Amino acid sequence: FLFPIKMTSPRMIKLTSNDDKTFEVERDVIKQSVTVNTLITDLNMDDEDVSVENQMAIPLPNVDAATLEMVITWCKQHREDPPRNEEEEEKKEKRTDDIPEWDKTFLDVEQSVLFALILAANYMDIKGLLDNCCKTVANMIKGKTPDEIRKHFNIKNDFTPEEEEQIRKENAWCED
Amino acid sequence: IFRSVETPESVRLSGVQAFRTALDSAPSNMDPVYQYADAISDGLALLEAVHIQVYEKVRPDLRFLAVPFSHLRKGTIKGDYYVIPESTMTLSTVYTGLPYPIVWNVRRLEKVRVDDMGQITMDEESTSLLDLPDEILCMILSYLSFKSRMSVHNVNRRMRSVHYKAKRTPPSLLDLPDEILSMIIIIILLNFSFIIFAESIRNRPANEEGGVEFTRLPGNSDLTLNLRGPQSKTMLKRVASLTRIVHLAFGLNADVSYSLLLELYSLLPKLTITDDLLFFDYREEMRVPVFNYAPLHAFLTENDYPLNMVSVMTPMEVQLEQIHDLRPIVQQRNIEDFEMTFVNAAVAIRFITDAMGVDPSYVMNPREFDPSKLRTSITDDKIFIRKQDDKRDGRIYRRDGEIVTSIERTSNSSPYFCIFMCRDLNIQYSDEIIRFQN
Repeated sequence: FLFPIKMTSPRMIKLTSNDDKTFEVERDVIKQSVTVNTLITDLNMDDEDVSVENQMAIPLPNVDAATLEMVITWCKQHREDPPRNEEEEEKKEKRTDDIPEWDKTFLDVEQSVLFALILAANYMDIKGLLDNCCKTVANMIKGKTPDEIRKHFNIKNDFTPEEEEQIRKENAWCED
Repeated sequence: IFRSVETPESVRLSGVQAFRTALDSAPSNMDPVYQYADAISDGLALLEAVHIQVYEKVRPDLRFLAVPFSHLRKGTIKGDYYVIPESTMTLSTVYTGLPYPIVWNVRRLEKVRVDDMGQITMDEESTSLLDLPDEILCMILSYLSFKSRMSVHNVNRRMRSVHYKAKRTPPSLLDLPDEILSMIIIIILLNFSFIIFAESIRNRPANEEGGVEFTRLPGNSDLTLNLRGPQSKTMLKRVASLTRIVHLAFGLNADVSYSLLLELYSLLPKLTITDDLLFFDYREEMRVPVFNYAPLHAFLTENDYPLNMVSVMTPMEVQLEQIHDLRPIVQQRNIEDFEMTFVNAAVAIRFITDAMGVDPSYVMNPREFDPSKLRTSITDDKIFIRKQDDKRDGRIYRRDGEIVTSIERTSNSSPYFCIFMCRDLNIQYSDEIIRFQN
């Protein structure tokens, strides 16, 4: 006897960006976002009877479409990653030379895009993405003087002349 | 294929002029600046070097570049400027002789503009580094070395305050009340030199659940808390003394039970691996000196530790009685138990600063960590001296050279020294001190 086999397609979740663009993403992919995951659970969206067409989209008011697209791409790439043990992560040595190659290329974007990604990762609570973004920014800062950092990140120097003098003195401790 | 590109009504010649002027004053190592010129076939954008003169002579192949259109910012119009960090160009920089434009595999373009001051600056689209919340900036700082953090510290006020914040508040402690947080930090700080709490290894009850707690200290030194061994009575006394001292010295009202104290100790491993506890600012106006000990010294040195703290390193054997100059101060402070050892001395040093009316915003000169270069600091009327090769004991001098008091060195294995830098005082060095020492 042959029994009909029910083909199950991956469960999809709809996400809407703050500029009203809706993305469909596999449940398994987006589980890396603690925020989205919690919402899905709290709203009983894991109920299999609801088709994706009838499903309510999860609004992400702090994330624009371009950034959300990037976040989803990152999540897809990292869907097979083992779950993070935050306690272990905290104990780990803080280093910035362990960003995976794929992430390095992925995060080699304009600063504004990277910062938007950081904010999105923070909002969506995607620790792995947030960590790698922060490491990328840390790598940008490394080895730069205050002036070079200002220039690189377009930061205005708002110290008073007195404060500048104080800084100069403090630095002299190290330099003379 | 192409994104829609607005056609400018006129070419911004004035902009080009400004840019070239800015470029003339730009450092020679600046990345090449290009201007979006036109959309060409195959999803490519044509960019032309702004500083054409340079390229005409030296690198004609670099005058025009074609880059994937997707690399340009949305809304780019003709005449917009981009910097191409050279490190991201992957085509050989050798002139290839190919017809123009050469298509470069540029991974990153940065939009730039000329600001009101005529300087070339990044043209930020929206979010900038400073738009990131403090906790994220703290996270970024946590990945930086001391030197880089100090660079960030000196970037601007916001970054400075973030740096302080990052130092002061380990994420694991954010939820704790201030008083307890202060207590933990103080206890930890004091505890670095309070290894006297530790039961010797042979006294540790084996396999007794809850009998021993191990916490790791920097410098491969283990601190053991064991209140059941033969020395438990002594240790309990010392815990009580420490608690009292902490209360007295820092005006804390919270009563700390032994169990809480132990709980606080149990937080040590978490805390000691962070930078933060080493930098603790007690309340805004008072910076708590870090009282320390050789293992921490090693730890600090290895990790490029910080400028803005005082480090007082003494062996635990130093007896407070020997700092007779402090007696009146200590008595005035109603410290009854005069037998308490090092911690008293450490706290007493804080009392000195109070008595002297010195702002306790100490600065530790990291160079002082190098024993061969160690020098002495002078406050208005006292000098704290430490010289590695000086076999005599440390002394506190008046400016006129008279010895006020001395601290006997009682252990060869753990030479003490006091480094006492006061940011707000006129600190003098070398000659005068060498004269004193001779």
